[in-house]
Amino acid sequence: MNLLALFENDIPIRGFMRLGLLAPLALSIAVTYKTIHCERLRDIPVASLTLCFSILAGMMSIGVGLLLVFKLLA
Amino acid sequence: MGAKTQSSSDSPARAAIAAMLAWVLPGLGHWYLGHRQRAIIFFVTMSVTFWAGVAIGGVRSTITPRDNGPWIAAQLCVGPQSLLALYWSERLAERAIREAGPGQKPTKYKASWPASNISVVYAGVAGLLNLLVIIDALARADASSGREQARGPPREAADRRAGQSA
Repeated sequence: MNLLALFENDIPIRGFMRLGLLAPLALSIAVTYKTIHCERLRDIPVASLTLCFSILAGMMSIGVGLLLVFKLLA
Repeated sequence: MGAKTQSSSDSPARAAIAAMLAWVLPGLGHWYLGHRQRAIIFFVTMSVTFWAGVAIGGVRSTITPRDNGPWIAAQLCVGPQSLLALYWSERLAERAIREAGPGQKPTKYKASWPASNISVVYAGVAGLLNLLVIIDALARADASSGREQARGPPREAADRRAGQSA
């Protein structure tokens, strides 16, 4: 398969994958943020994973909260 | 005294070079300042995030000033990688128009929803993260020059110690 074609055509995204793509983005934000903030490099992996899970948990709880509000108002 | 003046005048230039290098290649500013492991982490994170975005939606739907509005400003913070992607996107748009023929809508290489939106966010977030990295490179260049000034020029300190012992 041509490697360039990978960047020319889109990937079909369905179902759970739509939600799953949030995790790599949250991980990249967490790694960058913690690489800037951590004094010692060996602290970065654990701090990044903790922040990544916090972001995901926060987003999920906001989503669930908004869904509940929507269901109550409907 | 002369060394002190030179150090303080070098500081803005060093910070500007670090910031410029951080834009040219994510992490290069930190590499220049001596934070090599951090530089590698930044380079890998930014590049993977940016090109993952391009792979999700295709380059034509991801890097386009016509369709994505202000997102292009964030994406261009990644540096020449995004300029390369922008050039590639324009070439694909021209090819799509040629292949579509007159009166037809050039939809080739265009991503469908939600891939088109997710890819734009990925590439935009990569750019905004690189903006943070550029600011961090500026701060680190400033902080390291501040430490050097607080310590004083090494030759003066050595002279002082020699005078005290004599």
